[in-house]
Amino acid sequence: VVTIEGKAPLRRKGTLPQASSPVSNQDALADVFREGYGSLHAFASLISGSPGVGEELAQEAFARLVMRVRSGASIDRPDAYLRRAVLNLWRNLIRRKILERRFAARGSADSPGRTDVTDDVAANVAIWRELQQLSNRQRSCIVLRYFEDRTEAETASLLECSIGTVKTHTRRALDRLAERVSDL
Amino acid sequence: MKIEDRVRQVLHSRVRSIQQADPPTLDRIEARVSKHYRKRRSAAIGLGAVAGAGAISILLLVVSLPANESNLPTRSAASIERTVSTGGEALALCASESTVWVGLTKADGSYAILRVDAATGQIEGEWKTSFAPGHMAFGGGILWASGIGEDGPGLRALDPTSGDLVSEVAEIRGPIVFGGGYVWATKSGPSAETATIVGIDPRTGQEAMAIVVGSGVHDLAWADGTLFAITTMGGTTRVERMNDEGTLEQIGTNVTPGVLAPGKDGVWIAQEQGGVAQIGYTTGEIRQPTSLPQGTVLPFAENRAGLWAILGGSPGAAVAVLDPVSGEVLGEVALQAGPSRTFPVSAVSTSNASSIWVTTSDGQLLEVAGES
Repeated sequence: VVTIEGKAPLRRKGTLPQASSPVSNQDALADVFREGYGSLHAFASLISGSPGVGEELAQEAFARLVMRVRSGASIDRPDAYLRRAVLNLWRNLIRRKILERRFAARGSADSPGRTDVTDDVAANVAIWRELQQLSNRQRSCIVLRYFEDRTEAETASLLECSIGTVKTHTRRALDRLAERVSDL
Repeated sequence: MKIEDRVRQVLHSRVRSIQQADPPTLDRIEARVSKHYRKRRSAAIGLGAVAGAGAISILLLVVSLPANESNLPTRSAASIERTVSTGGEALALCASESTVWVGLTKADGSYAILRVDAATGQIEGEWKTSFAPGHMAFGGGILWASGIGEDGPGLRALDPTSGDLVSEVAEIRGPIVFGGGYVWATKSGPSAETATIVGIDPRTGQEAMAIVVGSGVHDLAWADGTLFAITTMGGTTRVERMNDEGTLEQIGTNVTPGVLAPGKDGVWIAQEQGGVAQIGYTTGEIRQPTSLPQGTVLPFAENRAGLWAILGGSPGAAVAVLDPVSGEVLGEVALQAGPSRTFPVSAVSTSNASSIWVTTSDGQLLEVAGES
């Protein structure tokens, strides 16, 4: 896991933590945890598609942060560090095939709605289901761009890829989601 | 609305629905950090030994760990908190937040239900029954018990405090579960292939719904707002979920009969060929933890402490709490006598608890606690 240094400060909005000051001691860790855990858990849950796995990823990312600080490191931007840690942990889980992705046809977007919902709600349910069917890379782009409101450059930095790759993944994902909505 | 805005709306609304009411404390992160340090220390010791570098190098590696590690909390193993002697052999078990009920067969051949205070482990009542309480569930303010009596199989609604019989439905046998305002049970059909799962309205005692399921229902669970069942038809055991049309649809096969445990993200099943899998509620994704312990693993509950399972056979069985993601054993308690029943597993928990209750073949009711 590497820290993101020398990049422009990340734009924050909504529920993002404000803990951007360097973290180098136990008190600062406690502040980062208190202010940042909720949004990190949300981020990890959206990336992984599962609140339980998201909880695991968020806690593990914080544990890594604690260990880094206790080894004497000063983390300049803990929120970026934690998000990078979540993304790396999730990628490693995929790589090691700990989570085997075998999607059952049942329960997919073709299933009938559970309740009498409006078209709008039905579309949102369909989008969420389709989001979970996206590739890990595409979903990461969508969550970073439209949940965390990161720029293409910031997203590329966190995902360690080019801005062009972010644009391609995002466009393809949005096209797929739009197609799903138009099918309704 | 533009698709980008719609995606934003969906993501934020989803986050609102998954935000934790009770987020973990920093202590939990500390426990995780401590675990990492222990792993590092083990690896360091292992490396030192393999390299033959001698005691000095091992000492140096251990000493080089952060000084504050010794102050960190360590994860304790699961432990037996309470032991209650039931005075019989357990047939069934169910729990609410405050009470545990145990269905028993006594040494003299009679049947009874014990009411135990979950907070103190005190037996608060023992009610003799005219039927063998083989399956029990609590819901709608009623204790539900199914079993065969002198009049044949039936479902009895009992006052959970006094044990008084409130009502009775005939021809019910097998597992029962409460959910969605109904008690769900299996009703025998005219032939072996025409069993039905019925949803009974507790206010009227009438069947509100019936689903033909085939020859056998081994387990029922209520989770994610719907019913899950392990059934057998044509020699194949499968796990099924009730859909919006009130019919069952298959979501997995090759399942161990009678092992179905609702989890936070999905329903846990034991597979016939060994291993444990979770079927996600939202996606239907099948996930298999890869660091499961060797041997038979029968998951039966997930709560704040983790995924609880019976390990191994009887005797030699143990109750263990596992990490729900990796399957790693977080804590384990060996049972002097095996669990009183494994299909379904004779252990229960409520989702908000961090402990479970298990009955053993030597007539004990044990509360095993893990870490929340």
